[in-house]
Amino acid sequence: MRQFQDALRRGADDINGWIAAREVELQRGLQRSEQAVNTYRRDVERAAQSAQRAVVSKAEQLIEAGASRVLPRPAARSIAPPKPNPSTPTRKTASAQPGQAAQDWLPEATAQFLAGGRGALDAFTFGLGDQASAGLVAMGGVLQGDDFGQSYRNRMAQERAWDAADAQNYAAARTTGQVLGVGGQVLVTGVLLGPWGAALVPAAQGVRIAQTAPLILRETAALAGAGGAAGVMGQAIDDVAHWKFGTPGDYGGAIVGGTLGALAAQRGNVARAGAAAGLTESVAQDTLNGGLNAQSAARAREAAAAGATVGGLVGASVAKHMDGLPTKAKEMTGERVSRVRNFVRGDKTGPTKKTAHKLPGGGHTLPDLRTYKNGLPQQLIESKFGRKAHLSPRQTQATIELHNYRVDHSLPRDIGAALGLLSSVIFPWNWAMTQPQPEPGATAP
Amino acid sequence: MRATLIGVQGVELEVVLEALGLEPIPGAPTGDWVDCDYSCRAFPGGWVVVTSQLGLDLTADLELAAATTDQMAVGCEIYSIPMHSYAHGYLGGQLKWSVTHDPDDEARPLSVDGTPPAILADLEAKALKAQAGQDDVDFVFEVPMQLVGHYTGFIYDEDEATDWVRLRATAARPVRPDKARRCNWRPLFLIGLLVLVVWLWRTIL
Repeated sequence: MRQFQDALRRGADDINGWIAAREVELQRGLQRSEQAVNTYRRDVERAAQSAQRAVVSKAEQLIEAGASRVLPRPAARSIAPPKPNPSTPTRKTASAQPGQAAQDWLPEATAQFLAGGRGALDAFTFGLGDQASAGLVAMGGVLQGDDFGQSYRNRMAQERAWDAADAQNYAAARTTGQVLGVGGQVLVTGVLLGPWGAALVPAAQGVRIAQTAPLILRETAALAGAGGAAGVMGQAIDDVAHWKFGTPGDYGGAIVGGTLGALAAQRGNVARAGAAAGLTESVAQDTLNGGLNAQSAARAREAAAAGATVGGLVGASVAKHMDGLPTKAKEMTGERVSRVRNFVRGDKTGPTKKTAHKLPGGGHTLPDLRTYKNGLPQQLIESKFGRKAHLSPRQTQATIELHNYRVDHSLPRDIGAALGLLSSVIFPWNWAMTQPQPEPGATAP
Repeated sequence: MRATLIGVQGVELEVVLEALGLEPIPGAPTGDWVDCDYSCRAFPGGWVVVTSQLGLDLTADLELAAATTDQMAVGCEIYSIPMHSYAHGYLGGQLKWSVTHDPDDEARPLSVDGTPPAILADLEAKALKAQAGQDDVDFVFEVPMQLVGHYTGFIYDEDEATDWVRLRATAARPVRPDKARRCNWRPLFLIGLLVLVVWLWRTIL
């Protein structure tokens, strides 16, 4: 038994020794592994730094090469150089030499022009010009066997570098270009929303009868007042939606925008009216809230686009609906529009039943409405509604022979303009805007 | 204005009025055709003409009136605000022709169904000739009315008779609801509802 216990004790000692030996070997292995990992990490870092330097160097070469391909740029027109200082000795020295002034002036003017052009392109394309340019260049790279994604990223980095350098070196030229770009955008949008847009929506067309009574001052004032009221309503809805109180400037801008939009809607193109309302409201609100700031132009542009979109879509839908109304409904609509006009003009409308009015030249006309003021008959009103509604021969005779014969011709697009503009003014389209909204009472930077 | 006239030939006035659910207003004086909601008058050639500004429905009432005679029955309805007019002609209780002027249909200023009378071609040619170069006047609008007037002798803006009998509807006259009036604004309500839902969705979420 003792011998057996001794044998066990010796065996246990052997096992402990074996375990200790393995632990030592394991420690050495771990140390070797750590050393290998550290060596590998240093190699990777060196390789990454080398690649980064190579990429940066290549990008600079590309920028310089691209710039020299288009037009020679001044040396200061690189990615990160400081703004060229007119008082630097170099410029003085160059200006002092005969014939050198023109050589310096031309590249500088060219660079200013290019900076303005890039600004105009960015504004005109809603800032998508860089992406479009990068996409085109990347497509060309694909044809030459390059990777599309890498080419796109490289070009985008280049475009952004140019934009940043323009903003730093040629801020005035770039801002001017952006303003011109917005102007061009408005012009092109006006064509798209105007003649071309109307051509796409027959219901938005129609020519008013030449004998139609124009709006009197009282009607125009009522129209403007209704637009301003719609602006206030829209601002109030916006306040409720965002659980805040708008500033007086917010409401003042809304009144200005709604009023101008309503007056613009007289011409019947609700998309243009919505754009005018949105743009005016945005600019007026920024102005009244402390002055225009860096985001004002972009915000006004987005407001105009949102107003035109909402107003145009709703207006076109309503006009199409009104144009397709049954005959009886058109009859009632035309008469109701005339009643509204009478109300606004301060006249009282007579009973619905028509009565004949004898014409001096023979025959008689049956006007749709008669107006009275202080109990005395005033006007005979012939209502018309529809894109192709015209006067009958007898009604034409009445316009010639009667001095108190008024023709009211309303078009489907008029109803569309009223509801479309109302929608664009009161619709809380702020969620669709990407530019930050100024806080109430915020002042310009 | 809206005006409807129905002319029936070869039948007594009382028969036509009974078919239409109308009766003379007792003790009412005669007057112009526009002096009352419904008016009637006899015309030469055995024609009885019933007019109304708002009450008659040409399609339904002309069919009722035409069933009372084995001769001609004609009717016309005009809407002067959208400048839409149309006329129907019956013979022996059967619809023979229809003439419609829809100003929105520029390709066919006058659409004709069935076999219209030969006089229609003359009236149309005369109107189209007068229409040439007159963009602000719609001469074709009057052709359906002139066609009916050719038979009955009644032209709504030339008639100066003051012996029109004033009529009223009897209990037997069916009430015809104006369906178009009820559904005019339904699509607009749907658009508004859609806008409201989108707005609420964008506001809450």
